[in-house]
Amino acid sequence: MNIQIMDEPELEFAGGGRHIDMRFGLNHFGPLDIEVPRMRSIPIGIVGTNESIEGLRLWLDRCRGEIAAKQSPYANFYVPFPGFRPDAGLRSTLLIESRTQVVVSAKEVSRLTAAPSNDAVSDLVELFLDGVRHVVGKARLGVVLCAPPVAVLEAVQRTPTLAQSFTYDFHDLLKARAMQIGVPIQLIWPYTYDSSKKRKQKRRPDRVRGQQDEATRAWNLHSALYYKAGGILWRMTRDASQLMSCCVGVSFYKSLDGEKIFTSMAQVFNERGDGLIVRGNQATISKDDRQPHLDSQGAKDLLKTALATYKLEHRTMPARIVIHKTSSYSSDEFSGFRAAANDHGIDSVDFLSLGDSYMRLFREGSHPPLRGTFLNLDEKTHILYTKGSVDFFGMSPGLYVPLPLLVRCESMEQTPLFLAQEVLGLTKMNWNNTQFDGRDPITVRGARQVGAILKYVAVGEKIEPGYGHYM
Amino acid sequence: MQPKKITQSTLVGELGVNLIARITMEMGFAWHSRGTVDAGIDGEIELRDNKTGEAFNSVIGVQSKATDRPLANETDFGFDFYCDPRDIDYWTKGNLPVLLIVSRPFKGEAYWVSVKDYFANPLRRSDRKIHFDKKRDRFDVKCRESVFELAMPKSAGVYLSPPNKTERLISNLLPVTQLADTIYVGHTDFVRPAEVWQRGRATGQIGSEWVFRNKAITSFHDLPSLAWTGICEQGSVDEFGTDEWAFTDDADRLRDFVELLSRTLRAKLAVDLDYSAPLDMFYFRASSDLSERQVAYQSLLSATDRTVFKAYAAEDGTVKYYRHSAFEHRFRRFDNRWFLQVSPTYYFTSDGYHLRPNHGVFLKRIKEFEGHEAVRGQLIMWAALLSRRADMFADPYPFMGFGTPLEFQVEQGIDDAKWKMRRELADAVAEEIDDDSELLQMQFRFEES
Repeated sequence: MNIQIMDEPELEFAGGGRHIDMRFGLNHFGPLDIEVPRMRSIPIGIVGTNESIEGLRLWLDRCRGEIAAKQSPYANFYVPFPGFRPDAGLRSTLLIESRTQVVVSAKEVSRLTAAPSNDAVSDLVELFLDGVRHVVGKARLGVVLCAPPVAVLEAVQRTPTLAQSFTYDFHDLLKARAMQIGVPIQLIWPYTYDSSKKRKQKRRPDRVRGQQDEATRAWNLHSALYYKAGGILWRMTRDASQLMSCCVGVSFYKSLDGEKIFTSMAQVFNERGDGLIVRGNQATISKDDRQPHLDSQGAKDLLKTALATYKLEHRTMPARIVIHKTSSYSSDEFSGFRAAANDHGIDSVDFLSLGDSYMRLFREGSHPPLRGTFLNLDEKTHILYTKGSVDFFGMSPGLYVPLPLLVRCESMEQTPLFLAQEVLGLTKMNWNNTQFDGRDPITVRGARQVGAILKYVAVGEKIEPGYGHYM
Repeated sequence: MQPKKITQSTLVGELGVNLIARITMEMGFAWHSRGTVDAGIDGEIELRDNKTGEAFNSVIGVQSKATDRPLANETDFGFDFYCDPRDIDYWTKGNLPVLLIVSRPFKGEAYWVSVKDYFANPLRRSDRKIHFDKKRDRFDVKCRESVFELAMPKSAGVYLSPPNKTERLISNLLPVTQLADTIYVGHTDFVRPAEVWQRGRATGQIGSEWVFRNKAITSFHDLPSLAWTGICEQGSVDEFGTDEWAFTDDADRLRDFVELLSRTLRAKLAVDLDYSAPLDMFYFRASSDLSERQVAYQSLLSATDRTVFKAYAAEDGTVKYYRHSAFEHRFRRFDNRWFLQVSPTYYFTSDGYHLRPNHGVFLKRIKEFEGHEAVRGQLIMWAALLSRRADMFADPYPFMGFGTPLEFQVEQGIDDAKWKMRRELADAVAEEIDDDSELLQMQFRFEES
């Protein structure tokens, strides 16, 4: 057994600039693709009610200028937003025209929100998608912002008492259906642009959730918009001597129509963090470990499709594959994944399964262990703190008692330390969040997100390969 | 002719500067002496990351005042230092942050203050006096982060590697240090475990340290003994060394072994703890009169006790729920050793016995605010009780025993005192802002409309 604390991985920004923190990196150096003229101004469309469009427009205008950081001694945690403008931060600006705003009827919204049900959620989604179709027809847009008013938020929040009566998730359904239109959607709830409209908790509607400060909300929204519009914000740093790697996240989800059908799905990433989505075959629950598994052919097909998608995007094959699965591997899955890799002459494959670890460590002080704490329990089993105390922030954000990741290296070419460092780096590849201490690597996080959306997309229907359509 | 002399005070002064240089370098920063040409600043600290070696072109001026005599108004806790107004003027007007470091080099003691910050208050400036607190203001390697923050502009986002310091991490893994040497496996004609229980009750104590599967009993109990007559066919009983099961690669055998361990743990703890099968939790049994129950144990530092069962009242005075200290467990094998993984938690009952409706909600709520320290405290209690050899959990139990939790040492850590100070500062700021928040929101809405 061996323990160590890994350094916080650096990210690379424009001109080879490096920093461990996205916000400082973007401020100092700009986004990785700073030289791409297309990204210097992002045309967007907005769909909402008159009220929500107005509220959002005012806030987006406000975000063109600097938004001060929350007053706090944690200067590295609360970072001011420099303004979404060509000479600072993301070095880009939003192009908003009145003709690319489409108003949905507030009357129709209140009719549909009167009695929440699956059908009502579905109709609300369609109402907004009609607007999206309309706006997409008018101009070439990077992203369409969907801004439902508070009434929608209140109606589609699933509470325990209503859980039986409706199961549709507004966000996931909207993304799933929007895929047929082909433009990435940014769903934006009123509490993002209006501090007075705080989000209520799902379980305890009487309690208001703690809200992020305004500058952080601006950072997160604009980073997400930039990524969805096709920009590249940062990438993981890679040693030139390392093999070109492709990281695949495999997760399972239940289909909508019943509890028994599981389908698998994979996601392919390179060091830029570009996500490409692949839907896999149906899986079955194993009697041995009660976990879903693919059969050998299913695993082979999944990785084959993933690699074909990778090649289409990068015009080359990776030299190495690392598979992050949220459950253990069956021997069929091993042989299927290996066969696909062999067919393409890729002999370096690492198989990891990642989950929650209830094996924990406790420091003597009042804060949990540092993020990056990595403990080898035996050759295969390791725990990695991706949440915890963060020296750079001078605090431990998140839960008081963080849950480390259980990293099982089922079969590996690289060392466990290398693989764990890669996992730690991949936790920072989340464009929805500019706070770098993400818990799950984007492989796992993305795979889960995609599963949640794909369950609304029938088998055989078109799915978008770009990750921007799922986040 | 007078011989040439180097005075004692010159030596002390030089030793003071050397002491500062040494401490600065221990922090991992660079020390640049200004030599003989100085007007009130003896040298500079240049910030540097001692892990990567990266230097940041950020500099702090240092004025050293060394003495081998008592200081003004000195006590065990502090002393005063009076500054020359010309010095104050010189230090505060320039562009460098300046530290005044008062030291007693023969004793290796040094104390520091950031003079620009200290004399920002005009009253202090006219007073010319600096009061040093010997504990708070000690200049040593622990001040590294504070020195760093003083010189770095907040917007720079420059970061240092976490300080090198040895920290002890305690895990929630308790080694299984003692197990019965032998496992017995015998055939039975019964088809359900309930039948085995029924028969066992009739013949005497059979304990609960056994697993029933496919008409076979696997147990740490001596199956050929009298209590098992009529349950197992005596001729069918085989004996195995426990290691054969503990370190097997056979999945079925391993599953049976883990189940046997869990059942054995239940038997071991049955004196004081109940087990909830649906929640898979061990919890302290209610006291017979439902009064508060405490247990005594040896913590890391001292003998202590902890409330493990207590009633909590609603606003109207009726009992809202009873809270029982509890833990979840898993047996895990790493590196050919077995461990008990202990996860402290709580069990909520309505009456000391029956699970409280909404148990999950109560549990979630307590876990939302319970901090790292609280959970560690509970873990230490469970570890102390579980690894105790006798008494509380009965006489020396023959089948199973545990060691103390695995511990690890890491060479990087955090400065808890410093983090605590910052936390308090943040709370103070938050309170202040809270008063203003209505105003801010009004202003925001005004801008929007």
